[in-house]
Amino acid sequence: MVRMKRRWRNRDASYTLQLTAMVDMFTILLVFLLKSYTTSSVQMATVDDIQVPMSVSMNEPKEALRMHVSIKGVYVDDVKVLDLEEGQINSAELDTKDKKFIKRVFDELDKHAKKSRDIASANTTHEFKGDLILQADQNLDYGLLKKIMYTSMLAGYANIKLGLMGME
Amino acid sequence: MGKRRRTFRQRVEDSTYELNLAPMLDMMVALVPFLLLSIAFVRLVVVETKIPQPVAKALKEDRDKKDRDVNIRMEVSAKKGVVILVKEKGKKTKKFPVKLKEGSFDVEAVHNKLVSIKQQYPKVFRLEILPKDNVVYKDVVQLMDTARYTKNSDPQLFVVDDETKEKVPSKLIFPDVIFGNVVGS
Repeated sequence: MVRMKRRWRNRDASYTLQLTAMVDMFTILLVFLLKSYTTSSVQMATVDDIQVPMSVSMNEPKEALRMHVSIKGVYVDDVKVLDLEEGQINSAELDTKDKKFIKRVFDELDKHAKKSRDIASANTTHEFKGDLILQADQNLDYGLLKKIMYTSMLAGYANIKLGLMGME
Repeated sequence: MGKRRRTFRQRVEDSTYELNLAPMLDMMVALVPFLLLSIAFVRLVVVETKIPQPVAKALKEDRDKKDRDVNIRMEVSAKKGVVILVKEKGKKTKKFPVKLKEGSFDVEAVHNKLVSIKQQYPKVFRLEILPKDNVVYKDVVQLMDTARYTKNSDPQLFVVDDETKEKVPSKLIFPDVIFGNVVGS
């Protein structure tokens, strides 16, 4: 009699796993992830502690050369080309005759422009349009950005697009 | 005879069954890591602006113009605020100053001023922005943003179609904002 009772107790101890709550959670997670899913081919990397300003109106970025300007430095295609001191450029980096011309930034951009033009001459499907995506820290002065845009223009990158953070 | 008759309740309980959620869970477990890898917490969004044909036509005409009858410029100074200058061919330049409000740019007032200017010049879509060197980039972007599109609270803007003389509503104020002082001064 005791053995029978124990057997009955063992049968009561078996159970099926309740998956409903877990499926509920996954469904919510799935919806959120699908909403945040992106198929954009352009990866906008962030460098250092750069904080790009928010904007309400933007177009989808196309593949172009990327330039980041943080308070610590200027990066072209993720390579640091110039050091900045708290968002200020050292006057020694500027051309003596043209105070808006930054030699080091020009050299790096010119290198990229030449490479792109060489590819364009060998491959007809590629065209050098002078596109540049500029991502700059929101606390920088316009004066610095003006110098960078001016230098970029002289290096052949006249089609500058500002990389900003979208407000949904 | 020894067989006990089952009650109605017992029969209902027997007919119910638990849904097998395991395959669904399997699928979700596979999907979630994939989506987690493709997630973009900071993403650049596209704001689709469907422009009615007459508005798009007027915008293109304005972009292609070499000799402009009306030039609208916005001078931005961290000390003085914003001054909007409207230069019409053969006329004196009109100045519309918008002073700083509690030490920062009065974006709302600038927006309202631009909307009222746009009402006078509905076929002008270009605005030259001339910030001083010490203006913070964030403020420049904010002012550029406010100059582009109307808000819901703004009066409705119209573009008159040259062919049909029909008034077409438009949300665009000055979508072509360009930096006017990168070259030169």
